[in-house]
Amino acid sequence: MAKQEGLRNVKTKKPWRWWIGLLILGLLLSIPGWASQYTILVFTLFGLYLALAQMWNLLAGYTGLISLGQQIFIGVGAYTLAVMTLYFNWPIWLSILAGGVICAGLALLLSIPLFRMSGVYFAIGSWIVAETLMIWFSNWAYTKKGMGLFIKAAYTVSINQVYYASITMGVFSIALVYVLLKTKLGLALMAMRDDVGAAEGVGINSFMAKLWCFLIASFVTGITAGILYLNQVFVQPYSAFGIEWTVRLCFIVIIGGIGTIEGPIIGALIFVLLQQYLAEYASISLILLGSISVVVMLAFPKGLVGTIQDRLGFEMLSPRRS
Amino acid sequence: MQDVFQPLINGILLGGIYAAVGVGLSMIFGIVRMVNLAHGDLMILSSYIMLATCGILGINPYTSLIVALPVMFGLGYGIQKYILNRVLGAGMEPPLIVAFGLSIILQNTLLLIFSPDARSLQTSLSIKSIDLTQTVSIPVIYLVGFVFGVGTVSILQLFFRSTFLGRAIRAASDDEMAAQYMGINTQTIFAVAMGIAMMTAAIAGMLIGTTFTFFPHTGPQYLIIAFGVVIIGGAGSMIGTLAGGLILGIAQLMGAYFLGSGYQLLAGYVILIIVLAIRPQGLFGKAGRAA
Amino acid sequence: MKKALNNDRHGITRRRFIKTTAMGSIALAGSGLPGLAPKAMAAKKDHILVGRCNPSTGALAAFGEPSPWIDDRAVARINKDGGLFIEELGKKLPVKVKMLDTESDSTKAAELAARLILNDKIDIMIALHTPGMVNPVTATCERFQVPCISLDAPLEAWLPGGPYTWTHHAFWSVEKDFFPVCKGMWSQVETNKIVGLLANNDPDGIAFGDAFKQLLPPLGYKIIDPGSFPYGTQDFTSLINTWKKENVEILFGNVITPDFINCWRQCHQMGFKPKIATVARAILFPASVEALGGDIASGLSTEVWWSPHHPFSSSLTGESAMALCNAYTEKTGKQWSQPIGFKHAAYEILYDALTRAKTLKKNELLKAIADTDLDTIVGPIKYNDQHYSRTPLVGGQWVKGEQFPFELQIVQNQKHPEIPATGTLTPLNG
Repeated sequence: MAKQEGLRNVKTKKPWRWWIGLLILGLLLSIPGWASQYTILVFTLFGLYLALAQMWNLLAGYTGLISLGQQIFIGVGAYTLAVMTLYFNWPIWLSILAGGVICAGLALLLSIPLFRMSGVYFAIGSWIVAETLMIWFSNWAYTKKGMGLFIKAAYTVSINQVYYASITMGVFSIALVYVLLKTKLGLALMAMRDDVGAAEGVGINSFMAKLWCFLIASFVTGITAGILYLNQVFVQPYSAFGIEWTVRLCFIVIIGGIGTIEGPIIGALIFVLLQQYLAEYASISLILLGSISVVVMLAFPKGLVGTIQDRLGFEMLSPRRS
Repeated sequence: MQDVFQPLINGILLGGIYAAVGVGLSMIFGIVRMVNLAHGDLMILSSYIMLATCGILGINPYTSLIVALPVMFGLGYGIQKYILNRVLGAGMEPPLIVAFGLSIILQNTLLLIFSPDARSLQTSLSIKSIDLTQTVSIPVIYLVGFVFGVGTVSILQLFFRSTFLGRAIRAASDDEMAAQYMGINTQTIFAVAMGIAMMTAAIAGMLIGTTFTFFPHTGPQYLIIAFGVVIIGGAGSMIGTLAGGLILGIAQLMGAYFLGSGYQLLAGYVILIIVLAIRPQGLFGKAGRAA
Repeated sequence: MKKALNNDRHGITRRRFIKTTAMGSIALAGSGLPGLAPKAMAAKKDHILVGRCNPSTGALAAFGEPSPWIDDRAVARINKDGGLFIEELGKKLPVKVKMLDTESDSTKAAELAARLILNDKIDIMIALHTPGMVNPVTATCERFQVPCISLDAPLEAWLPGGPYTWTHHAFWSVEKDFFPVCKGMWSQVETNKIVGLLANNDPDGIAFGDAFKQLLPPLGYKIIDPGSFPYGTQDFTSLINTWKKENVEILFGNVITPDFINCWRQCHQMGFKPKIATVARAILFPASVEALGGDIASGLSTEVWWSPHHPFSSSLTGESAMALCNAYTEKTGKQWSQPIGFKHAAYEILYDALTRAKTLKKNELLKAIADTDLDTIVGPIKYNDQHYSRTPLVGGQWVKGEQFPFELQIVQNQKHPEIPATGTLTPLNG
């Protein structure tokens, strides 16, 4: 009796969630029609950070790969866009796509040394690789060394175009993670999250699972970075490959709630708003960000969303099957 | 080929300094099983503390250690006891994030207080050198750093081997439960260990401050060096720390000699990646220990 | 009775939670973002808003330090009679400056510039203080089509971002200005004409290195390049070794201050003693020079783009360079530094352009800036058709001073004899 009712509950809960989601999406898509350019810029940043954070979350929260080196793909994605449009006159969107592909290829290559490292060693290793790339690019005459490149093609891209691209990436990243977790790969990930040994015991190839996630994450990150740099216009190795990117993503995911899909959404919103509010107060914003993370980690280790899920017992985008 | 001696000698001496930088991280990693991402920034904090002390009291940096050592011990003890102990065992992310957060807070607070100008701890030793031959000379400040580095590592080695406290710390890290049965308060022990690690950070901060320049954002640079030392040499092993420091120092300067100065840091990183991939526990670390 | 299993567990339903969060975040966004819906501009405008991205903190803070003192002072003079007359509003508007701290970070500079343009809706942007700070801001202005007055970045590092439509720049060229200065300085002392290069691999360092590598050999100088290096390099053993081996007697470079401090000290440690050491950027500021420690800063030479001895006066306040520096020292107790003149000049150009344009309409304002032909406190400014104007450059040498620990003497002024020399280049003591 109870089982039947439980199933009925599952069936009826879905359509209601989709309506709310569509409403919010519709609202977001309409923004360029009525909001100021500044608001559009803010939401553009929101969409981009959301996509980046979802990918970091995919790696850290679901696959167990805490990466301190996502900036590898941000830098490579940005430089691909710059080089393709400046040197080869490729169209912008094609160059951005190329950025994603090259990042995925790089990820494949990097997995050879990196996947031999586990846990904290992987974290450190990914960071060191990023620093290595930073030095490489700042010495590479092809990309004008430390001089940086101007993405002049971006001068002609309209704010609305960038906005739609970023919202697309944001929504796509959410959908991607959601769908991924419902597939066999997702099941494998959740089994691995609970106990790697047991998972391998039932025949899950954890290496392939991790590799797929790494490739997907790097691909999406590379594309998102391209769009991000359409906004920034000027790419320089020290900031493109800087650890600051990881710092931002870390905060977003941790404050939002690691290992949940809604977490990065809330986290990205909070982060972007905070950044804008405090833009005029320089170091204070960073001190605040650092303090919030420490407090959140001590008191609410599951982040905002995780804690709410625990205490109030509901989830909106849960990939659970029952 | 004669001019390879200068970089070689400097590399060895630099290695001693690097060992001092890495020994604190090695201790914490080996004992508390945690990666202190704020290690570099705490080192720079002690450099600033010494800067302020020297300025106010008018003493030289070496004497200011008398002030810096207890202050850093207290700071380390406090951080471990009240903040880090609470997130131990909760998985890998929380200690990492908390340390990250601390690192950001430290850097920006130092920025607000001290301004971003490059500083250094002034001592007349920093421009003296002992000339061995026409082309080879030993920078005195590097030599002093080397002595301090080796000295610190040796003292710690003795400490862990021979004193009750040292052995208690090792016991607590080997088997927390068993240590508790023997009446050791592991929480306090970990806090003490962190305090000691911070004292080494103070020494390292002094060495860096007198030899090179520092400013609020210098921390992460030395964190990477500390990582290098710990990973190449192996966490928790004092000899490993010394070996790691030497290898890193020599690798950097040899890399610069053969490839050009732009690749100095790169040489270190490449070695680091190779070691991470092949033998992550380092030369002298114990296998299968890491998270 | 298990129906309400998930809905009512702790008294708050999903529906309510989502509604409140969504409303809450939109309200939050709305309240924090004053531009939620585009406002009518003309009705409420009561000042001219100037955007100013300044490196108040970070590695370049020495450049940013005299602000906002200098800026406020210039603006006070502009606003003395009520401001500038704007035709379409039929009245005088005061100038207001919104200054944001870029933290010496290029990414942040770009973000802040975008914010100033889109959120604060500035009328015009002023950008200064090294290519790392200027380039992102001018690029952003080009993108959003806002007039920009920029200074204080060597031409070779700024030009690659062009061709520029909305930005006008004033500074000197490495090839046409700095090179002759160095040549002039170096010929004052007897040397073997072997030059060692010291350069960071950033826009400044690379521009200087590349230019000199091309220009020196035809004059009989041999240049030894041990390779450029990233920020934060501590150990310069291999570079110094190379220079020693090749008998370098002239050290030349463009690096950031912390790297130079490490390098120069190690030169002394390793017994490398060139006769001349000319370093751009690292030793522009008294604080940097003093940080070297001891006396090892004495005798270092550098570029001088402005000094109290420059015989120019401000078109805005009428004071001479010397008077401005004295006022600065009197008010703040600090020694003068080179960016002061350029910060002031930016406002002179602004005032002059707005006075001629009498409008805030972008295109006409842009034209007014392009037509500038003004004698400022840093020299005459007249933009060419590539949107830049070259300012005069002379060479200087740091010596032990009376009023301050180290003072800058002008030792090479061949191309600009109107700027008086106060000494000749002396070789570094052994």
